[in-house]
Amino acid sequence: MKKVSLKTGVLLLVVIMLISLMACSNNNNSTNSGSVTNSPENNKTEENATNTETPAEEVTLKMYVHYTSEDEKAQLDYAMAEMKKIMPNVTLDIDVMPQDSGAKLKTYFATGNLPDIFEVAPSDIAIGVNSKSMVPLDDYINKFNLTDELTPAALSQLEQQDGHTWAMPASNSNFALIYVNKTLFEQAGAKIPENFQELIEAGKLLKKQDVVPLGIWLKETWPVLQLFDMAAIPGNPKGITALDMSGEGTAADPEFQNAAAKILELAKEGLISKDAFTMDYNSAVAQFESGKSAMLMVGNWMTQPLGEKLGEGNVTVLLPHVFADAEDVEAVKVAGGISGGGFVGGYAVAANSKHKEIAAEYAVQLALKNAEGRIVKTGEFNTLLKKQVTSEKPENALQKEVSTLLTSVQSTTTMGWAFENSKIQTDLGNEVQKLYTGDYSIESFTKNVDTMLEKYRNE
Amino acid sequence: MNSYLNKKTAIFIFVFPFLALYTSIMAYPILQVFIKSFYNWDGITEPIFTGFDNYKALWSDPDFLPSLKNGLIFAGVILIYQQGVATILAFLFTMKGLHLRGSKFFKTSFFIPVVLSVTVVGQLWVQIYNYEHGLLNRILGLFGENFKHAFLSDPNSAIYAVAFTNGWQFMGMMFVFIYTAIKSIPEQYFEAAIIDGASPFTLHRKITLPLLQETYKFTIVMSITGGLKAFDNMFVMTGGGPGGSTMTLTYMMFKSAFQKGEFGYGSASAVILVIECLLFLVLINKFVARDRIIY
Repeated sequence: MKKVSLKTGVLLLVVIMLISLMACSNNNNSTNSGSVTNSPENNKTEENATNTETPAEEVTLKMYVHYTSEDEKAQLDYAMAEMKKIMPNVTLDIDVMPQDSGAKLKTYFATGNLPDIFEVAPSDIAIGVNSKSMVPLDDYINKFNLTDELTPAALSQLEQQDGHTWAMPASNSNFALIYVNKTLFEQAGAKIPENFQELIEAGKLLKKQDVVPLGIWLKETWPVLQLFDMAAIPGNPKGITALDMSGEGTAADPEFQNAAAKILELAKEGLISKDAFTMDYNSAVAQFESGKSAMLMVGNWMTQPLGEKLGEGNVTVLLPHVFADAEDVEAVKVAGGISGGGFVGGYAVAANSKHKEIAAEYAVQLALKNAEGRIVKTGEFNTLLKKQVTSEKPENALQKEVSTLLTSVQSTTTMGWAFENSKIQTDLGNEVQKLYTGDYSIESFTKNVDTMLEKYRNE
Repeated sequence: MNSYLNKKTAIFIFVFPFLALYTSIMAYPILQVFIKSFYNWDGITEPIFTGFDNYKALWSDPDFLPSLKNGLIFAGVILIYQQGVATILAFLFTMKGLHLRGSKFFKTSFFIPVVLSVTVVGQLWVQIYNYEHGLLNRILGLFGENFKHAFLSDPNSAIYAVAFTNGWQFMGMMFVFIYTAIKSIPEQYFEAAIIDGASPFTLHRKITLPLLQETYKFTIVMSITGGLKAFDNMFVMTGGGPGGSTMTLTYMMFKSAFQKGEFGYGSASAVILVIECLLFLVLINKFVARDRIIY
């Protein structure tokens, strides 16, 4: 009797476990089918939706986008509010994009589970086009005559892969600047540098005051590449774009040999913080704002906040000419090269979206509203839109200074996150980062970079 | 006969669900990694067979040998720290006649870092190692400015600093294993040895350590394989830097697959890592706890 009841109990247990396994699998399937693209609400609206611009029923579109910092939220909230006036029945469900170098987006591409609208970097466009995951946006841009709203520089960003536009630009051009805390320089008795030799001298004086001369965070790839780009521009206005997929430069070219040597010298002379390799963006900015570092290499989006935080007249900026030797400075200033620029990328639409038409119409307009939001909410410089857009924040002295400087720009490069080829971006970043240790030979750098470029350019 | 067949059936019924689960979740993906290592695949489009090209490229990759070396250093540091400190503490807390005040508190506190997330521990130690305001450099600074050191920014010391963090975090787990194993040794062995005039040192050398061999085999395997496949500590603390000096094979695999979209190449790194771990397993099985000791 005991044996029988024991056997029965055991068999019952096994059956329950098997059913649980099957139930788990079914639950996963129903969870997946309950995602935005297959939700009951969307299925219902799918029956009623026609090809009209503004759908009769409420439509919720899922959007994968950066939405973490206060600035990111402010500009997108502005854009969504503006879009409510144009397409009132469309609501966005935000899927927050982390700072993961596009890893999660690539997973979405691989699983075919892309959100309706998603933010792409230049290197993501090739993946999306090759896997037929994205919708070309040309017709939708033309439908709303959006090209009339863009500056000539922005129009060039619409020429993407295969002659189509796959992602609508959603941000103004970004530039890298070295912000300088003038008060700390005065306290150290250092001159605001005009060339590389003066930069090194100023750094030595600042170090004596226990101030980090040049704040930078080296845990991410883009600032690593950006400062290297600034160092290369005096020798070649194309900067790091010459090392990208469609560039023709190699690490053996004189401008990159000089740039590598200058980064090594910055590291050896102690101008870069000893904690730079473990710092992130927020730490580096906080270090500058709190007066612990005298200079900070960061994007132009920080002009308004830093100008406000450090006070009128206490901060200025340096351009790439600071990496030129004394005898070349004037020529570099005249050449007007700046680190950074516009980049191909922005908001794209998934080919598997249940509301492709609506999503595409929404995305192309939302992108421009987001660019507008960046100007209104964060005081960013307007390089995308033809129309005059006024910021909510009053223009400070630093913004006026940078606006004036930008009028002299003759050539641009790219931002360190905006390479055409993500493999080159990653491997080049890895090699350039070794220079910042101050303990890496230029010969090894040249050999490894050129081997890598040959491999990827011939793929 | 019936009971023999019933036993086989019962075994099958018990084992099959978990075997099916293990095969689908563990064995099949491992097999796929091995197969995909012979392909050029971006994870999205159709894979293209390339034979041993990924392995040839891996061999000529300037980061491959340093990554292998870093994995071995990581494993070595955590092996020495975890086994060494855990053994000393376990012997201390099981010593006859020694009544340590607050021993329960200490035993609990050794295990607290184990339950913390790697992110929390990593960020904590980044602050401790900080050159400007970190606790470690503040103490070293008392002896003079020259004693301060940028542990995480120096390519020569970064891997040791990161490995120590992991060693510190999981030493508590090894302590629990070794402490429990010592406690499970029958008292009469020690009593007999004491009667025969054995000193505490001899007791540990002749009785405790030999009887702990099986436990050490397990803990050494955990330390070494944990060290070889290290990733999260360097991801949180240094991002693989400075200059790749804290990059391990797992980090190479992550970088190749998820940052560069080279899943085939990343799979090749993973295969090398699996072979490395299996090699160490074979060596440990061969040289540790060869003979089962029975008194």
